[in-house]
Amino acid sequence: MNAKYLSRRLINAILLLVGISFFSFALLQLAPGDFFDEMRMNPRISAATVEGLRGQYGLDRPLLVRYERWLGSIFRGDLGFSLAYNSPVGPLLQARARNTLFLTATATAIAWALAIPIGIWGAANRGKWSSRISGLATSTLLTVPDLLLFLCLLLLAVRTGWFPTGGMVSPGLENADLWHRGKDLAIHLFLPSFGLALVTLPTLVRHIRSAMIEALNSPFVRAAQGHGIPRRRLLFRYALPVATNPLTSLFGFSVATMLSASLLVEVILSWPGLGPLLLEATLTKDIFVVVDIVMLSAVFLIAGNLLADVLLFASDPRIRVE
Amino acid sequence: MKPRYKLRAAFILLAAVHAAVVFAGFLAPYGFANQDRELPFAPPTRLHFFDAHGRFHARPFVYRSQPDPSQPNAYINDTTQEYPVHFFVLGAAYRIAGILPAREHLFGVDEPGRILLFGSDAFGRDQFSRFLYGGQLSLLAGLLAAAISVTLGMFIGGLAGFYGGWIDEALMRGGDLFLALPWLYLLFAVRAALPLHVSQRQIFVLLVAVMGLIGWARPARLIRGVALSAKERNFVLAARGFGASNAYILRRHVLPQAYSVALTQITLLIPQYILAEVTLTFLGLGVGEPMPSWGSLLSSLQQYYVLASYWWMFLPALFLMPLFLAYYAAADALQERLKSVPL
Amino acid sequence: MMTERSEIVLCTQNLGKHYVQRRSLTRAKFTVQAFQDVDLSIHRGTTLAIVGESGAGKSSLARCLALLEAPTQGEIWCDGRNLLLLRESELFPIRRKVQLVFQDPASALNPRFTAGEIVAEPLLIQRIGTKTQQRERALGLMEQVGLPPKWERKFPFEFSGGQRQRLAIARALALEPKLLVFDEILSNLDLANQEIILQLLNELQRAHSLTYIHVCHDLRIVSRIADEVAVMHAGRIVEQKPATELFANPGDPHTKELFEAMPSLEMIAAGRST
Repeated sequence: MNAKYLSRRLINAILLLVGISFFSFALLQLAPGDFFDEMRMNPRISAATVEGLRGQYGLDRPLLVRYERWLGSIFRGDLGFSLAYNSPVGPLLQARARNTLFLTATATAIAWALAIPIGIWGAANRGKWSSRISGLATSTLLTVPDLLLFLCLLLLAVRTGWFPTGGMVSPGLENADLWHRGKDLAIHLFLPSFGLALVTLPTLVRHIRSAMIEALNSPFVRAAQGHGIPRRRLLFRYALPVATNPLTSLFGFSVATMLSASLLVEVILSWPGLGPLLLEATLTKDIFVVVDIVMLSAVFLIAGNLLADVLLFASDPRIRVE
Repeated sequence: MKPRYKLRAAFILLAAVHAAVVFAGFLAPYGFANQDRELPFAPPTRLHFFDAHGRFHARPFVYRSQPDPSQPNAYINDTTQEYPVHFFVLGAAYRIAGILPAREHLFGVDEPGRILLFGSDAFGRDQFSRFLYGGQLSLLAGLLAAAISVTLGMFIGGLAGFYGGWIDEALMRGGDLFLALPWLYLLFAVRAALPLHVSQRQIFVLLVAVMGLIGWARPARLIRGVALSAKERNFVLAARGFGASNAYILRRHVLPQAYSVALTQITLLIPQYILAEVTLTFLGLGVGEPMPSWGSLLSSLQQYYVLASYWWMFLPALFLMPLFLAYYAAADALQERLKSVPL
Repeated sequence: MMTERSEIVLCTQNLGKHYVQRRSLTRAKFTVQAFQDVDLSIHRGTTLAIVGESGAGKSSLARCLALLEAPTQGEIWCDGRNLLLLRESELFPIRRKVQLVFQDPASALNPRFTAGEIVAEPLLIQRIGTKTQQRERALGLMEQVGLPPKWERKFPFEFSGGQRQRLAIARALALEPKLLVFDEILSNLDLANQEIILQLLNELQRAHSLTYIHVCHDLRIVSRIADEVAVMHAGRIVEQKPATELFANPGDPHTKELFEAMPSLEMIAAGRST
């Protein structure tokens, strides 16, 4: 019984990935004409390479065969060729993907670390004016478009000079020790991750607040209250565990918003992640890069949701018994 | 605030904004492509009532900005000539809603005076006028795309919930696919697969179509739920007892139950899509020059010197906030109403 | 109350219905038998009452008789044809002949329809008459059940429970059915409203020679209105007799249990034997 839930989610995830691969393949088919035409016109790529690639991707074979071969090449690690960078896509993505993951993970941690106490505090002090003010602040933050928020952060960096205006590392530090490199990284990381966290914060706080309020209103918590259990214990030992169930599904959802928003913050604050690469590739119609990044982002999202499922499984005894 | 008043206030604000945008030609003193090469990045013109000699003028006036000889990239006012603000002036020709030609503008100043309420951009174009015209594009894109998404969602969700079985499975799994991709990435991907060099109108249509087609999954899921519960209701059974066909029941009994949900979903989606259009155009993937969109108005902010020195370029972004606030407030109020409707 | 047997409007043979459900955990299927081995003959102008405790399968049987649900075994005969063999398109005109009135009128009436639309809907679906004629007929029906026609634009939530039930009855009459099936229609009403509706039904039956099937758990009502009574227990008809006989000496133990639940049995029995 235990493994059933997890295996079902896993199969679901795999099916989704298969679907995504179909979709990505379909996208690739929409533009190959352009791609190879442009390639042929590029003097740096020999005609032999173009024909070789054409043959490799079997453009004259039936659709299903092409799909199989494409899928096979993906699994072998061959992710296509980037026209703009004149190199295979795989290595190009590696560093960028790592940077995006790093940024998103940090931002998620910050967001949840802020949202949970604020949400719990808001639920516990519901009705008092202090909680109303925080509610107002949250709603205001919600109406700020992420574009504006990131631009303001950039403005902050430009005007005050407290933070670098972009990049991930300062030049010239390759030989410095770990501590200095770490500090340097942190200061570069601060603005983008903080901005990303702020963007998702309001929705998180709202959901946590309402989940906690619901939990606090549930009969068994009220009964505990009647028994005279002290407030703090009530909040953390009784209400919070009940609230974690809806929150774990919120986690999956927040990963999705986070990934989408990361694109924008990376472009505006020049963080070397998948975002700027995708933008460039879209503008230059570097189709392989585009499709690979899309698939990668889907993988991240699906993985994030799976993680949420595992967390739910681990935290909610009801799922384990069912 | 009571939901009823919230809804009313939000509705008034939204109506005002949309009216302003529809009548952009009338409210804007200049056309959106009207350049003044002598006034790049000029700050917003201040309205004066007292002139350099201390005299009071009942009619406000402006001074023409001139490049400051002592500092680069700065302006001072040329106080030798006052340009009074006139109302209901004749100016550049435009078309109301793209059809009726007209030349009246709400306000303006005589040449060579220039009234720049929101300042000017790199080409000396009046940001206020471009803001109003840009609103036409951004708001329309948001509205259309949201309408497409929710209509599609109603259709698909209704079918899935009503027929159930494998249709339901297939459709919902398809929806999961769309939900599994971060939407901005998906938008980029589809945009990349499309040819870059197409006409303005085609880009707009494609943009709206793509945004609309991507976002059906979430509304569909909600409407599926409504359809699922609606089809079990006794009044549906009674209609079957009269010999009603599936199509009739879907049309007359099941889908109308979903109208409230659909309305709430549209209200939530519109700001998201407006923001999506603004973001795309900001990054250079939307409708190009010279047709302005709020995104293109903001795109110059990507350059540091613009960002740091010319604060008025932020104004279009600031105006997005009350707009979104109105939409969110309306959505909130609608959600409240949804909960209290007796089923 | 007729003593000679009139023509048979509907008759069933060996009627049964089972549901297949899955346990959510093990995914094993198990069968629930709603009712089985039901043989009924319903005569024109009479009232058949189906009684039994909750869960005895009465509602399910009622819906099958009204052609709203499909039984899984047996046959339903009407005018010499087995209705269960007919396709939906062939069944279409036959639906006019039998109609069901639900227990809860609030759920049986679409809250977004006006009263006039509700009553006219059967005519619309069956494509009888023009829009104007449909409306006129709907207003006439409202009057027949005692609802003022000027209420045609009101919504169901503006009506009281009893009025809603009358609206549902008006709707059921729209197609001029021969047979009406009532599924516990009085259970949600207070005594005053019950009285109004019982009187109304009585008048209508006399005026139009209607045949009624009442699913009812209240034996006092049954004693007033039924010509024949069928007692159900656990999905089977355990006893079926003319009402007078049944009330005089209930044979089956389950029937006796039902009677025992009623305090004033002696009075009923006494009242019926005279």
